Amino acid sequence: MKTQISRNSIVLVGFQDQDNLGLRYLMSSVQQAGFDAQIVTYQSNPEPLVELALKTNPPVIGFSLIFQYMAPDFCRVIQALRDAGVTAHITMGGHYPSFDYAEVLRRIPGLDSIVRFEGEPTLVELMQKLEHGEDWHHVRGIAYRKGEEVIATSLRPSVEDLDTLPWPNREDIDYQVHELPTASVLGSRGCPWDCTFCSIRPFYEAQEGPLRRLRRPEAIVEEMYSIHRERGVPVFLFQDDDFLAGGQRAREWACKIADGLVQKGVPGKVAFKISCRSDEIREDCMRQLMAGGLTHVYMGVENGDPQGLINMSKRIKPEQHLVAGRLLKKLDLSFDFGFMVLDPYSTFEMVRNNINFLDTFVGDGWAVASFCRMLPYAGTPLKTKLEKENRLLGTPFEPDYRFLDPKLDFFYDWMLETFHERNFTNRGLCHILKSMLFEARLRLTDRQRFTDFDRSYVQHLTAVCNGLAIYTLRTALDYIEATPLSELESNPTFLKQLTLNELEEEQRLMENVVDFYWSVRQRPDFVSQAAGLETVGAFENTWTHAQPGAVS
Amino acid sequence: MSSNIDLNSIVQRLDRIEQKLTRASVLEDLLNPVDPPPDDWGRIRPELLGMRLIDLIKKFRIPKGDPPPFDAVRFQGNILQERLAEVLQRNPGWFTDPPPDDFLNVRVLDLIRRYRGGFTDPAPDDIANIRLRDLVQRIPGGGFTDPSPEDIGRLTQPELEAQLHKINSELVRLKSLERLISERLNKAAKAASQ
Repeated sequence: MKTQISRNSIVLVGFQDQDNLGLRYLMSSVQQAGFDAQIVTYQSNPEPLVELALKTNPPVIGFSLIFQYMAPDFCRVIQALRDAGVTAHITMGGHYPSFDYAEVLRRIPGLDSIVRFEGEPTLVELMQKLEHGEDWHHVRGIAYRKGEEVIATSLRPSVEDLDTLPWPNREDIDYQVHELPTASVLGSRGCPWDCTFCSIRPFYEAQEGPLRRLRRPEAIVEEMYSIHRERGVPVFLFQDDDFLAGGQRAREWACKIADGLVQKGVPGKVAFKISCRSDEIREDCMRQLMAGGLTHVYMGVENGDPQGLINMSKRIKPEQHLVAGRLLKKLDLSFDFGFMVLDPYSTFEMVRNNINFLDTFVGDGWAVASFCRMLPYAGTPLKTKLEKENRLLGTPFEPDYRFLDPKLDFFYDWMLETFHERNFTNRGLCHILKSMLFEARLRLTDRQRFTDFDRSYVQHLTAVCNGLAIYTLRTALDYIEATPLSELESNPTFLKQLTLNELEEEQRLMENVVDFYWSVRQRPDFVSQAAGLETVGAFENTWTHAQPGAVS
Repeated sequence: MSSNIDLNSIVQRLDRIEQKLTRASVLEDLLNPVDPPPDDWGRIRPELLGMRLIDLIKKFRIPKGDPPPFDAVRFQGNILQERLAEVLQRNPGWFTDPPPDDFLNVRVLDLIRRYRGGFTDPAPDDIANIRLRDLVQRIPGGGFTDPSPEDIGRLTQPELEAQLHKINSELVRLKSLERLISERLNKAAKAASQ
């Protein structure tokens, strides 16, 4: 298919949680190349997008697919565009389509191409080819259909110097909509670690470039300072895959960013969050980062069982997690962590160790204990391994597996039902308490409304939340391990009772949480930073609020 | 209309209730050989040990229903005190917190917290002035008493399991509350020593 396009334009469609820097880097790159671009928030309802496409007739529409399980939903939206007669070149990018391009092209017939892996130069070249009506099928880094066949062109090298990329376009983001304006920023791309559940290393490894590339600290500070000064944003979330990966050199790099913020005179006015591994936490480095405004650390803890960590290829011991946790508490720094209580090779003993670990690690309520199981996402070594073992089930979009012990499947199904709302929904305690803990320990001088005692009280509420879940998990695990599977299946009374108790207790705790939260908000000195906006009483899922309608 | 007429009608009503209670032979069934929880033996006065429950109820003249609202407004002096004493007898503990004379100043939010049922954590501003009695009184039903033996004895296995879950949930709450209050104490001690 040959489509000739004008300089105008591309519509980029995707979720906008935490700014979606992936989309915004693409937007600024195509704009730098002279194209118009606009971002539209993805919705399952295709009508607004169809209406926009028919009205503006964009030559190219690009979808950013972040969540693998959302692929069928994207398929419906793209089909609706085609059914409405939209003839634009429709392309897609993101981790999942980069790895599983053949499957995506096969299942979404409305797609013309997929931009694989790092997308900025590829998308620009694709648009240039389309603009001039040239054959685009030889653009490096894409995949497309040719009859029944799927063709993937050779990959291009990754962008060597990240500072050659224009800063992500944030013009359409209304940061002031949120009481606590928060922006995402990217200091690096990639991660050298090879955890079996993660596709980050394979993603960047595919283009045979360095496993982690760093931006210049000065450029990062300049971007943050610019957003702070011009847009009034005090909180920054570093979206780096692993902010401290790379040993001493990486720590020095990170500290230079903090020093740069100090030189700008913004500590106390600007706070930032990073993500890293627990064995990368060093006291001297943390103190220096805190001087620059570090307020929150997300750690990829993932597991608290020695064998579980080996299975994950984490190359770390549970004790290192505990040491990091103790250090962060000593520094009075809030933290959060990812945790997979089950993996495809779990045993009852490993799960029990994980539950005990959660108790030791955050039984005091410093952070919320949320948990899930390991999933074999596209591109991960785990998926490959399960495929080889003939254990990969489900669909390409929603992969699944059975545990080695069928009783653990029973445990997991019960766990999912019991803790789904708590762990995975916006109205669940995990989401709400995480938000409150973040806010309670926010290191911003003029925006901190929580007193010292408030912080202790939120910690107490979190400790209750964690303690209830740990008791429920332990009790269920012991019961399921000791009970024959046939009896478990025929008589669910005990587990149902346990679930009911957990849900009732969560409800009671939620009342405390809500009471407390509103008691803080109703104080005379709690002045909303968002002038003219009414508090709606909900916790936000996203920090990003684009203005109504797309803005180019 | 006089306050005497109103008083008479109330007295008559109380008498009717008393008669009904006296005839309520079903209450005698409660005087079974099962021992009350041990704590009760420690608290009860020796002269009451020989009395039947029905006699105890009569002795304290406990009204069955709540006194009408106007009672508290019209009653003066000793009568009001007696009525309040009756109310307190009917709700030992739970209803006594906060003291009646504080009611005019109590916040609606506090009332909701106290009467919504269930064991709720005190609000943060309460903890700043917490007393052990305040914590104890928050247990529904008033006082920190075990359920009676016959109650436990008739529970089914699922009900017993449910009770166990509830107890463990309370333990989780109390453990966390203990930690919070200990931290508060430590901080107070540190501040005092400086």
